[in-house]
Amino acid sequence: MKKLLVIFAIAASATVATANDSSSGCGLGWEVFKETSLVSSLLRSTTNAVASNTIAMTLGTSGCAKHSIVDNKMESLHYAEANFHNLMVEMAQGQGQFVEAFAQTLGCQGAEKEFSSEIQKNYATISAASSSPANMLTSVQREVANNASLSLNCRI
Amino acid sequence: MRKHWYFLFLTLLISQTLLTSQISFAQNQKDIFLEELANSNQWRRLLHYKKTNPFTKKEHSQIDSKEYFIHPDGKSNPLSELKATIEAFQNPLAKHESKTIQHPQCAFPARLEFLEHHFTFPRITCTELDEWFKGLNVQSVYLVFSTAYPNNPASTFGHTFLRLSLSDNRSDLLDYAINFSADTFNVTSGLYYTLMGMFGGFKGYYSLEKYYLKVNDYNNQESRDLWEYKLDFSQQEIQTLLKHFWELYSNAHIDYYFMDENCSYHLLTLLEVAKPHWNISEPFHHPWIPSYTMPSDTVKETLKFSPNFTTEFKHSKRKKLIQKRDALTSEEKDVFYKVLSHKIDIKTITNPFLLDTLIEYYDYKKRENKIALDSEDQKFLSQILVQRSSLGLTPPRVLKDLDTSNRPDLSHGSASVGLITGLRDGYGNMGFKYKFGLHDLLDGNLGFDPYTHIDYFNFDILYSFHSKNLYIDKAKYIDIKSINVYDPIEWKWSWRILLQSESLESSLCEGCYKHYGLGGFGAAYEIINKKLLLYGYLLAKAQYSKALTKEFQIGPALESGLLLTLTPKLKSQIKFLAFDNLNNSSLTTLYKTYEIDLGYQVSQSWHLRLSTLINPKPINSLNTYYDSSFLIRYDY
Repeated sequence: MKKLLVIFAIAASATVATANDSSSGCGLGWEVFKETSLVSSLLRSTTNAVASNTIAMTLGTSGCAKHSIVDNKMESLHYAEANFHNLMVEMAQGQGQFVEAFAQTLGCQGAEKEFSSEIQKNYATISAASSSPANMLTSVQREVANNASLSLNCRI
Repeated sequence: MRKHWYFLFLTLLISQTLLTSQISFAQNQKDIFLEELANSNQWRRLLHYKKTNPFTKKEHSQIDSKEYFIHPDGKSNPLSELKATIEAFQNPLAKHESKTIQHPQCAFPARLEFLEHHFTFPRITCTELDEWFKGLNVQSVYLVFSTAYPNNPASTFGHTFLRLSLSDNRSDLLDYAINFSADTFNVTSGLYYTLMGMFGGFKGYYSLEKYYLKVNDYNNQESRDLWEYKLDFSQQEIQTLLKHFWELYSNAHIDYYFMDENCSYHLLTLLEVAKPHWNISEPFHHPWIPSYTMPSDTVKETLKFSPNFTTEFKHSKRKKLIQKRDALTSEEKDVFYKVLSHKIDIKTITNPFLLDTLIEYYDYKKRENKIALDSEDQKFLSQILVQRSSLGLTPPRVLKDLDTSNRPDLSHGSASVGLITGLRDGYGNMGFKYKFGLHDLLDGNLGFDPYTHIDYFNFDILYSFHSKNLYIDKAKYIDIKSINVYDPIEWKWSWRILLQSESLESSLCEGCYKHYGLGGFGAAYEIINKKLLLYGYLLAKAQYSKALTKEFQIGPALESGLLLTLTPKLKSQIKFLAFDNLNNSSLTTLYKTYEIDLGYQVSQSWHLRLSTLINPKPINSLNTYYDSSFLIRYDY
């Protein structure tokens, strides 16, 4: 039994100025995640992650992109999708917490500085290919594979 | 011969009675044990039981999904739930259906851990649970507080969630967050959102997600700071925490009440299951009394039980942008603003730090715009980024320290009680002040974002030595000053709302009141190195009072103030309010008042305030000429 509250003041202030924020959580609802396997609902990325992520980002209700805990192959893709804008900035700057974590998702733990520096050198090429987060990731992976030292140090 | 039969019969009877009484004694013992177990703190915590009625012993679970309970009466009968759980655990073929179908032992691993101290159950393999655990090598648990987001009342007081730090030596960004929040079906603002959120219209769920999503949302999207408090958790306690999270994730939803059972509250009920000696949710549980679970208060309460905490600070994007902009030399600043207005050829700029600042600006602008820049700005940003990438790393530059004074556990108490003594038009009074919340411009800065001014439900009860009456002198329902200090980087309106009732108590008019509200927009400027703040609002005011000749008054108003921050604890303010009652038949007589205040925050718990209100031309004898008061306030 919940109590009645005086709401007019709060409602008034609510209607005066409201904007989106992410504290209300995942805006896409549980319908998206009603899957057969609990692990897959908790772990997997939604297959339309790129689309839903973009929509969610546009609405300002991000937080829906689930991730894989055990499936490491998807980790770098989910990361690229969720942090696309941060990465486009930090890859150009050759340093930053987001590009370093990106390196780690690509198996380059220990070689983050080398990774960031190499990616910065090839930024123009990567940027031209970055029409989507997935394409950006492919471009980055190509640069890593083409670099003798990085392809040794990174276990993609 | 008959004697033998008789003797045999008697022996059988006695031994049968002894056996039955032993069995029933054992049965009694077992029943008593089960009852004790069902009423134990830990079992009730696992079920999220709370007393619903402060007078009777009635209690039920705060969890609203039926899938969380094995017994149909499990939500209100802990003993039935206990018996049903034990029975289900003992049955290798049992199935529990919620988000998926798993054996009850796998659906409720924290309950299993608890009951295995007293019972043995058949070993069941939980493939999904085990797979999940494999990826979660958690070494520490953090309670994280995100600072206020002023444009959404649901986030005015911040938000809390947990960070699970992994032992893999990788970036914080790759850790996990546990969050409790409402599923609002894509509704994110407005009256519907507010009403549904207040009255349990939304369902709340616990979720686990990558930490970078949180850093992105709070630091980058919304320009809010994150304060991370590392809690004292042993490895065993972490396991229990994760097991209970699994139970909640798999089976639970809780009707979301923004006021008391909000995001912060339900983190506490989760943490408590792993920490039997912590008592952190009960202080926020008040059946039948309206109360608000303030996120910063939940942080303070938790830290009482984890006093050896350490903190980490993650700054907002806006703070970083301002920091970089302030570190530009005056020549660099010239170029910076020139670029903003004319978009000069970016290839002419080879200064990495200047380019970084420009990048920071456009990226910030993009987030403010919901991750979309108009195509011209976006193209320009891409050009800046390519140009920047050709210049290597930025040479280090001395930057001014970021403002970290908004750490929530350092704030003064959110509610308060105080003693007033005052002088009004020559007559003395004494009284009592109660404040539900929260913080105004004269309160101590520590623990809040600068220039926060949000007060609600403040009441002053005075005893007048003149009229010998005890009465409610002032009731302030809501008082908000949103102060957005002017910065050339972007324009943000400041806004104001006030709803208040004031007494017109005098010997001529007992029990007389005026009720008014005002609201509008304005601006604020910092001068003299942030020591002085000048603000002003253009408002509409409406007032009703049976006691005044003009019962209903409406018109424009102007409110302006000058705030002097002598120290973060000592502030002084001069305020001016002018109101033009359009309902006045005579020539416009502006109703003007001046206010001078001095506030001193002695500590987190004590505050002193001196206030004087002056009305140089009282319209009639019911309005005071001057009103001075001194307040000693206890913040808790």
